Amino acid sequence: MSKCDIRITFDKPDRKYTGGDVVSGEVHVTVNQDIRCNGIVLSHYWRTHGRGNTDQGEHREVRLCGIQPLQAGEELHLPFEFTAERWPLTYHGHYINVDHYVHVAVDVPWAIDPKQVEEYILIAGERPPEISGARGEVVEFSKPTNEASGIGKWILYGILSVFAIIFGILFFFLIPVFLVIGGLVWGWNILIASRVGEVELRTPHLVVGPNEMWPLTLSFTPKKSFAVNGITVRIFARESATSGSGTDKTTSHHTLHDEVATLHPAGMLMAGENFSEQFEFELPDTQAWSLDESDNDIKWWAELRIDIPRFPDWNKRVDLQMIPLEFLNEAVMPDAEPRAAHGEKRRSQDSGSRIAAAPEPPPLTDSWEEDSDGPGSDALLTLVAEIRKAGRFGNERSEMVNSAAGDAFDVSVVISRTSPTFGFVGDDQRFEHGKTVIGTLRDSDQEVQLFTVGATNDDVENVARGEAYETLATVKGWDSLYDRLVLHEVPID
Amino acid sequence: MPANSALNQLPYAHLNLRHNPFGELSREELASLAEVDVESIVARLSVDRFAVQFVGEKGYGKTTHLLAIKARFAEAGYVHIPEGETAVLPGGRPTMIDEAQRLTLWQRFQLFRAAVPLVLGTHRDFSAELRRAGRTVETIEVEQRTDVHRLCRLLNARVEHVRRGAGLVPIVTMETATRLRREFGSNIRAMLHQMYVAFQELSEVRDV
Repeated sequence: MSKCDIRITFDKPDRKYTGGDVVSGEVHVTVNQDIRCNGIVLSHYWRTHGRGNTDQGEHREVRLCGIQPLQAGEELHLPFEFTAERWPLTYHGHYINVDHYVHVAVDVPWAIDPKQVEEYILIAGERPPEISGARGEVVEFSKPTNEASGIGKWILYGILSVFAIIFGILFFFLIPVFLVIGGLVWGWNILIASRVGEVELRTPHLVVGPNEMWPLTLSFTPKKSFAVNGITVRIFARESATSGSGTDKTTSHHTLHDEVATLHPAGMLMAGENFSEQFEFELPDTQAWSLDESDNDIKWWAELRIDIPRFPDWNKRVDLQMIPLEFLNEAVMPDAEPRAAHGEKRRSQDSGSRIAAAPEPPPLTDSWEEDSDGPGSDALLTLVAEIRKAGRFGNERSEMVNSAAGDAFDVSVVISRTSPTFGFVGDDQRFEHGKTVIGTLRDSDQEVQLFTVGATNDDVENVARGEAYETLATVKGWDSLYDRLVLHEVPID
Repeated sequence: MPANSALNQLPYAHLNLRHNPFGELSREELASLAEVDVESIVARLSVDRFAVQFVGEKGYGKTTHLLAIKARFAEAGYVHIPEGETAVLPGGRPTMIDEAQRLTLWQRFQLFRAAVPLVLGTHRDFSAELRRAGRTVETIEVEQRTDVHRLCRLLNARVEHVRRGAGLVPIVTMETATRLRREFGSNIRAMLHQMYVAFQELSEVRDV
């Protein structure tokens, strides 16, 4: 029989607390033998468990009682309370688990201390101080550091200096090798650029939440006409847990999410014809928050690929940070429908589709010309009809759009959906904080994409779905993927 | 266990456990769970010139044997030498070196001639060198020490170690232990990995 039995109870029977909550309860100690107790200490901390070596947070201590003799048969009821941490949140995965613990130990001199430990569940509550709500940069959470001090610090600096000198000497001899490798990489990139030109990828949100739309803009002008097998984006999440050390080190990986969607189907991309598209993807429902610890990582990333047959592919990886929506400043657009271009899903571990199907461009009816009555719409619809008649793979369409560029039209767009404009491609900064309106020209089925300026955000927001937004706009291009006109609102200064 | 169950229950509560029993353990936990017979060795470690070496590949239980012996000697000095590093030789009786193949030549010279009993965990057989240093040597091939009954006890000891409360917990059967022995030989680490996955997939308490 141990010297005493310890039981920990929580005020909340389900032990669920939100970050920043007060965790409270009682420690019950039943003494089985007379002992001298040097104190009873409660500590709380987070710790990982699973396949990897244990990572853990700082142990914060609360002293429940001081030095006192304890007599057999005595029972102590010691209330406790502390403020729950805000991060990391409880996570139960495959190779990695994160749990929060309350640990109580009775300090008995010259003997093994009786102790007890219990978990509690931490869910998203107050936002951790490291998260500002900005989405453009991955957040680094502060970690407890074992900073060297005094003479140890100087020894450490000395060792590092020796390594730096050795590495410097090695580097000198390895310069030719580095030059060859650098040359190969440079040549490879030049080869790819000779087809696709300079590719601009904008991903304004690197910090993301579950179930929300992830925006990206892909823009490039091919230097040569070439076929593509498709332009795709792959969203990937993986647990990596490392156990052991040195030659005994083993890292186990478990895929949490793997989904490929097609932004642009197989086809031809024409030289000189600008490809500039905005996309939005619905991220999966998940509680696998990004984690970056010594031996336990949960990583999220996106891989963009322009798949060129019999030629090196252009690809780029973008690291994402998945955190609870509660921690993000911006509200998710409740009505925002995904505009995922042809949401074809090639491979997914989940059965449910995460990428909504793209809205099919409505068929152009024969009656639109008679039905349209606005002077601006008439002219635009005539232009649309001519563009559609033109060959898809020549320069004819571009020339038609160019001939209309700069002319202002009165347009009336019946709104299907509105979303904030992310990563606007163009020089005019007034559009960067504006809206992207998808809808049809009034009294027709012709779809248009209208970029509005920030100054008219309130006007756009006041127009409900299904109602018409009227403005003055210029023609900027033809979106051949959706068969729709791209319009820019004319700013009223 | 589904990855999204975090908010619904305490970890592994559906199995009446606190962790997956076959996850990574701390050295202290490993020592407390060591299911190895070291009695005959312990008795001989009072002799200064005695040395025992546990020889075997990684994952076969060398460290577990060393930690089990360490737990029997309050004055033992133990060090594990990480890859690519050197370590300061510990004092203590016995002196215990894990990954002894990473000792420098000079360290071996000093240590093997010192008047303290020695316990080595090593990939390399040092018996000739130890004898030249005047020691009595016992070499134990750890691969030979994993019989099915011991293996079954070891696996179930891990399950008991993470028991959440009174009541049933999953039990690893002799049939499973036999199959693991047949499939993986003496490679305990490979067996633990397979058992980890098996316990991840358990949705309720039952024999494995």
